[in-house]
Amino acid sequence: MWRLVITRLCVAVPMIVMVSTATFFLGALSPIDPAEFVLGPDPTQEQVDRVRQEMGLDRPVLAQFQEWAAGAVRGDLGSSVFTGEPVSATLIRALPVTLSLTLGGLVLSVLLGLPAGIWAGLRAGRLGDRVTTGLVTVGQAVPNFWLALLLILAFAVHFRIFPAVGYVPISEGVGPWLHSITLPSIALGTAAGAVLARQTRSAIIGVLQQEYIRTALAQGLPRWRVVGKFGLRNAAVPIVTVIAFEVASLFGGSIVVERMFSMRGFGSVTIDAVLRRDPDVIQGVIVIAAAVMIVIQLVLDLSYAWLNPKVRPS
Amino acid sequence: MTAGTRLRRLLAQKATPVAGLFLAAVVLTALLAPLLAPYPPDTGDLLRPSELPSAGHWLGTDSLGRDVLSRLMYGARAALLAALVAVVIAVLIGLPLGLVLGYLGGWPDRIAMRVAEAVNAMPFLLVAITLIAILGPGLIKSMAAVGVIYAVMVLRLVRGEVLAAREELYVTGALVVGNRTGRLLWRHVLPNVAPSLIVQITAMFATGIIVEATLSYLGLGTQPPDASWGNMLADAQASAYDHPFLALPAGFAIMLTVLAFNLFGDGVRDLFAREATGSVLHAAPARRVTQVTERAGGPEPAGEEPLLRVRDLSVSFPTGPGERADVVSGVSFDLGRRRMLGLVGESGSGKSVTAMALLGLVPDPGRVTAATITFDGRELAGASGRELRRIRGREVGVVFQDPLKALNPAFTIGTQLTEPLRVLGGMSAREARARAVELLDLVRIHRAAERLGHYPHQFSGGMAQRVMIAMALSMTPKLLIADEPTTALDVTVQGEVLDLLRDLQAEIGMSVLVITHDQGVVADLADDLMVMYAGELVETGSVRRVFERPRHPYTAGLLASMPRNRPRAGRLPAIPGTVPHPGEAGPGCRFAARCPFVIDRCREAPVELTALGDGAARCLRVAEQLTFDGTEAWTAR
Repeated sequence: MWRLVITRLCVAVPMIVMVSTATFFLGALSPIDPAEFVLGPDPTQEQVDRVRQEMGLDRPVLAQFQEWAAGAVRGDLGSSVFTGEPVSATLIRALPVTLSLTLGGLVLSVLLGLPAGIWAGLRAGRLGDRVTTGLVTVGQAVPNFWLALLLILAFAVHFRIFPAVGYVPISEGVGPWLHSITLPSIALGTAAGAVLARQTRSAIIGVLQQEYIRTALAQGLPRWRVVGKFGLRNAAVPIVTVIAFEVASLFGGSIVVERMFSMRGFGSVTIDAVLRRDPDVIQGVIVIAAAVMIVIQLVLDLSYAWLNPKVRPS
Repeated sequence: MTAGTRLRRLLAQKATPVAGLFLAAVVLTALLAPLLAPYPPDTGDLLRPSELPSAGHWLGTDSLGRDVLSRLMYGARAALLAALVAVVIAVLIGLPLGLVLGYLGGWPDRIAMRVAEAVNAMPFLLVAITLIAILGPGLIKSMAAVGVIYAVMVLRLVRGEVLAAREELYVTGALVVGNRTGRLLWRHVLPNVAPSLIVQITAMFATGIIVEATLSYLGLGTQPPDASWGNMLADAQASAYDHPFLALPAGFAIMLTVLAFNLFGDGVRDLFAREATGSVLHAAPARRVTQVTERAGGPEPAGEEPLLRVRDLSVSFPTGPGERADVVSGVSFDLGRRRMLGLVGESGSGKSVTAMALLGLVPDPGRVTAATITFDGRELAGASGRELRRIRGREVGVVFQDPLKALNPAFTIGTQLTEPLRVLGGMSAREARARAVELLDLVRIHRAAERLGHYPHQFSGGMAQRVMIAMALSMTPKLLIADEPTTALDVTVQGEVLDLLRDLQAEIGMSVLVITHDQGVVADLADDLMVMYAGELVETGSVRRVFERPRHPYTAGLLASMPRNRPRAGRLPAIPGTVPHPGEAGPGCRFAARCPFVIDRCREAPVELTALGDGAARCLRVAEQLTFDGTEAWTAR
C-alpha cells in the first residue's frame, strides 16, 4: 500500500515539473505581449520597454524561468501583473469554490448515473434499458452552461428558491453552502451522470457475460446476490476509471458553470488571466490543477489495488 | 460485409437516418445562411429589442433588436466550421503520428505516450484554455488549440491499432523479416482503424460543437458581434430577467445537433460491432411441451427409477428477425443413480447446451422446451426459476471447462467456496470455513486453510479445476455435471483430475454426466455413452458396446480418429468437413454431407433413432450391420 503511494508521488514530482516547464516555455513562445495589455491600445515603444523591464520580461527566458522555479519551490508562485496580488493567495481563495462544485457535481452524477447504469445494464435490450439509454443520450447532448442558464431561469428567476449568483463558503454553515452550490452541481452533474450511466451499463453487460457469473448461478446463489456481491465488484474497475476521468472533466466544466453563477473560482481566475495575458496566474492555475489531478489519480490507483487483486502487491 | 449490406443495415436502424437527415439540414443551413437568413446577423433594429416570436421575427429578437433566427443560422456556420477545424487538425496530426509511433516503438513512443497520458489526465477545458492563452482568442485559433488536444486522442487510438495489427501479423506469420513491414502494417491497420476512427470523428464533432459554444460563451472563441450559439447564450444570460425566451433557440440548436452527431456515431458503431446483451442472468427455465412421440431413448437401467429422465429436450436461438433454429433437437435420455454417463461430440454439436438447458442456464435469447425433465422425482420442465435455483448447487453441481474463467478473479476462493454454504446451507462464517477446508482436503489440495485466502490467478490450471470440483461438491449433490472438465488443462494433469472425479463418484455415490469431445475420457470413466451430432443424439449405448461395435458411421468415425496406443500405418484418419450450422443441415440425415456410407434415401427425410439391444442409433442403414473396420472410408474422401 505505502509502496504504491510512494511510487506515485515519485512520478508526481517530475510530472508537475514537466507540466510547469512546458507551460512556461510555450507561454514565452506566444506572440502576445502582456505589456501591451497593461498599457492599453497604442502605447509608445518607450512605455512598452519600461513596463517590460518592470515585469522582468526583458531578461532571457531561461533566467525568468529560473527565478519563477526558485520561487515555486518555496511556495511563491509569483503575482498578478494586474492586481499585484500573490498568485498563491488568489488560488487559495478560488480553489474551494471549484472543488465544491466538482464535489457537488460528482456526488450528483454518481447518484444519478450509477443506479441508472446498473438498472439499464441488468435489463439490457429491454424497454427499460432503451428508455434509459435514450435519456442518457439526450443528457449527454445538453451543454452544462445552458442547463445552468435554464436552471437559473426556472429556480432563481421564476421560482425564487435558489440564488442565481454567488458562492457561500462552507465556513458560513453547511446549509447556506449547499444552498449556493445546488444549482451549479445539477448543471455539472447531469451530463457527467449520463456518461457514467452509459459506461456503467456497458460494464455491467460485459461482466454478466463472463463465465464466473454462470458459475455463481450454477452454485444456486440467488440472482440479487450474484449481481450485488459478485457482479458489481467485477464491474467496479471500469466504473472507477470513468469516475476518475469525470473528476477531471467536472473540474474543467466548473470553469464555465462558475461563470454562469458569477462565482470567483478557478474558472474566473483562469479566464481573466488568459484574456489579460497574466503569465504567473496562468502558470499557477496549471500547476495547481496538475497537483489536484495527481491526487485524484493516486486515490484511483489505491482503489484499483483494492478492487483488483492481480495488481495488489502481495 | 459489403458496402451495400452496410448501407442497408444503417437504413434499417430508425434513429440513424433521421439523425443523418437532420445533420444534412444543419450543414445546408450553415452553407446557405446568407441566402436563407431573413435579416443580417449582426445589425438589429434598436427600436424593437427583446421581442417574442412573431410573423416578422419567427424566433423573436435579442436585446439589440437582432433577428434570432438569422443569428441562429449564422451560428450554425461558426459551430460547424469550428468543429471541422478541430477535427481536421486532430486527424492531420494524430493519424500520421500514431502510425509512426506505433511502428517505431521504443523511446519516442514511450515519451509520447507519457505526454499523452498527462494531457488526458488534465481537465480538457483547462488545457484548451491554456493553449488559447498561448495562441490568443478567436474562433479559428481557439479551435486549433482544441484540435491539438483531440489529436492526442486520435494518436492513442491509431497507435493502439498499429500495435494490435503488429501483434496479429507476428502471430499469423505474415510478418517475417523486414522491408515490407511498413506496407503490410499500413494495409492491415487502415481497415481496422477506420471504424473506430469514424466513430471517434463523430464524437469529436459532437463535443467540438459544445466546446465552440462554451469557448464563445466565455469570450475566448467567436468574438462579438459575430454570431455563435455560445455568444447567443451569453446574451441570453445578460437578459435573463427581461427576456428569458432567448435562452431556448441557441440551447436547443446545440443540443439537437450534438444529439444528432451522437446518434449517428452510435449507428455507425453498431454496424461494425453489435453489442451482445444476452446473459445467463435472464435465462428462462425450460417450457413444458407435450411429447410428440416416445422415442427410443438412451439406455434404460432395469428396475430402479432413474435419477434423471429427459424427453424431447430442444433448445433454439434466434437466427434473424422472427426466425429461430434448433441447436439441440429432441434429445431424450435417462441417467441412472450412481451411473456415469458420457456425452460426446465435436464442438458445435450441442453437448454443453444440452447440459446447461437442464439447469436453466442457457443464456438469454435461447429458448428451452422439453416434454419432461424429471430429476429425482420432480418435474423441472415448466418449473419456475425459483424451483430450478433450489436444485442448482444443492442437488446438481457443475464443473466447467476453463476453471480460470469460471472462477471469479476478484474474490478469494475461500469467499467463492463459502458463499453458497452460508447463503444456501445457512452455515455461520466459521462453519462454512471449516467445511471449505474439508472440501479442499477432499479434492487433495494441500495446505487447505492457507489456500482459502488465495485468488484464482494464484492457482495452476489443474489446481483451479480441483477448486472448481470442490465448489461443485460443496452441497453434496446427487448429480455432477462435468462440462469438458479436462479440455483446458495440461495433458499431464488431465489424468489426475479424471482419477479424482472417479474416486469422488465412488466416495459420494453421485451420478455424473460428463461432457467431452475426448473419447479417452469416456472410455476411462463412463458406464454409458451418448454421441451427439448437430444437435441430435445419433447413438447411445453402454461404453463397452459402443466402443466395440459402433452402429452409427459418425460414432465409428470419432473412434477411428482417436489416437490409440497401437502402431498404425499412414496418417491418423479424420472425418472431413465440419458440423453444419443450426438450421442448415437439410431435411434428411444431418450427417449425410460427411458420411462415406450415404445413400440417396438418407437425404430425403429426417432419420429416427432405431432401438438396438443395447442403446439406439440414428441411421437408416443400421439394419445392414455395416462394418466400419479399416480407415479407408475416412481418408479416402
